[in-house]
Amino acid sequence: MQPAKKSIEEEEEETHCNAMAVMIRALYCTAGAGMEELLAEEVQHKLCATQVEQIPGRVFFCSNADLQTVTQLKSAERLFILLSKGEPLSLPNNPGVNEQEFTVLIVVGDPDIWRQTFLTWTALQQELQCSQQRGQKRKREDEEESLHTPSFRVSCRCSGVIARSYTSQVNVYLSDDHCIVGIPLLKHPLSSRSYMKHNGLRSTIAWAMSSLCPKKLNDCVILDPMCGVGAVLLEAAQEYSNAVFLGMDTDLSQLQKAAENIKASGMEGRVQLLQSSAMEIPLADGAVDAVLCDVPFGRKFSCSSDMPTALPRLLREMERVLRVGGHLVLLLSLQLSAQLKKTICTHEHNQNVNSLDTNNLHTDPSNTHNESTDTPKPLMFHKSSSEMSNSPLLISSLQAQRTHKVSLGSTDAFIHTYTKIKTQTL
Amino acid sequence: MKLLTHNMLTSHVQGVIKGYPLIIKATEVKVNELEFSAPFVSRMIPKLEWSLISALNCTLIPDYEKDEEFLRKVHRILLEVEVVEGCLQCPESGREFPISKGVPNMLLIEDE
Repeated sequence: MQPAKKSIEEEEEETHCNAMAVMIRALYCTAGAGMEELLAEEVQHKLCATQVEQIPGRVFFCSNADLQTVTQLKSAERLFILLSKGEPLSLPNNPGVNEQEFTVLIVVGDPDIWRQTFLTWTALQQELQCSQQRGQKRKREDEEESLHTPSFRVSCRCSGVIARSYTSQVNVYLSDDHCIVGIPLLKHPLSSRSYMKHNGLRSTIAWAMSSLCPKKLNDCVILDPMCGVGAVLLEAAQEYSNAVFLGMDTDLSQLQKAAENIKASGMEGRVQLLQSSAMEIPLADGAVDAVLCDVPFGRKFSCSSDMPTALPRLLREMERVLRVGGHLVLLLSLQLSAQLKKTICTHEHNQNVNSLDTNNLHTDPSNTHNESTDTPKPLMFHKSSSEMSNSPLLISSLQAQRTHKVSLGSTDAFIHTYTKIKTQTL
Repeated sequence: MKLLTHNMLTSHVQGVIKGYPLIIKATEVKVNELEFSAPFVSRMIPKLEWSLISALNCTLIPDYEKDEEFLRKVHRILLEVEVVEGCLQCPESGREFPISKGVPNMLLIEDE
């Protein structure tokens, strides 16, 4: 498919870029399930986007932000320029009408819109090259030529040699509720980060974890006690330039990959690594301002225990190193989330502390503001773990903030956020 | 391991009451150049246990936020000096935690 040839004036690339910078463009991004709300917030916050609209898997918006800024979005998958968005197709009842031709007619729509969008797309490609190739040699003539008269393929999925012979593609999405046509702006999804040499947790989800933290993490000490290759830490490090990040893992090979990722992202000054266990964190009580953790989903945790058994102990350690007022953000499978709810039983109204009763290990009924009488009284921590082996470990100092469901592709998960509060315990 | 990390680390060997600070025994030390940020350093200072830094002949001065030379000195100590090889020793139990390629190994064995 070739757009109608229009005489394009010979302009300096610089002027063209400047002109494009103030135009408002209609764009959209695909997003993983559960990420749409976060992406909608991100485009409003970072791009001053207007006309923001979400549907499952996609967020539409208008923005005049320069393309370089748009490509910095952290919760999006792919970025597209919008051609049209409309009501779902309903095929005509008249059997005489050729269904295929009809579909093409409706999807294609107004040729003028196509012409205009192609021009915008071409200009955006030039803008991208402007910002990427400043100071470098001018592109080869044939590459420039292909930009002025781009050829497009229309397909559902296309890869390999044949895909590379086309400049770009048109993406058509037809569902029961929508009919959407767009052109991707970049070859690679935004979610594939240039600074991650080794991939771990999906970058968009990793970013969501620090984004969902109740308070901004500027000037904070942030710990990930099961950091793996460092995805969560590095996404947070991109957002908060004035924070210190500490990553721990028992696995040296994972830490080595994390070290390479840290180097690739230029974060060596601010992200430090340790080989240690999340069950015994070598930090003092209340040492960190935030704990972000993607808890492994697998049933096997260590040689001596599986994850559901280990979870309460892990939570206890994470709670211990958190300062009062600090935040905990956890990514857990559905199954572990249920386990989490059984372990953390902070009462809604248990926020007031009269005085720390250091002699009394158990809650004194006359001091608590506990209003529910049928839930079991929470056990406070005993310093020696041997006494706890028979009774279930319960945590009452973590106040639940919110729970956000996300899709990890093949499975669903929850991001839980908590704030540590003061309790009447030693 | 940078000295900023060392400032936060504590020994958690069972039974140990005061496992801080860990004694540094370095066999290889490197100094890397790292981009300096004055706001970052001045905001980190209140979070630190300063006695460990003053042990390195760096006294905390009042109004440090405005003293760039002081902040650069602190930046160098905390972020540019790196213990590449060596170990950290628990001050109470004597247990040694090795540091290899800059990463301290704080793992305890089962019965520690």
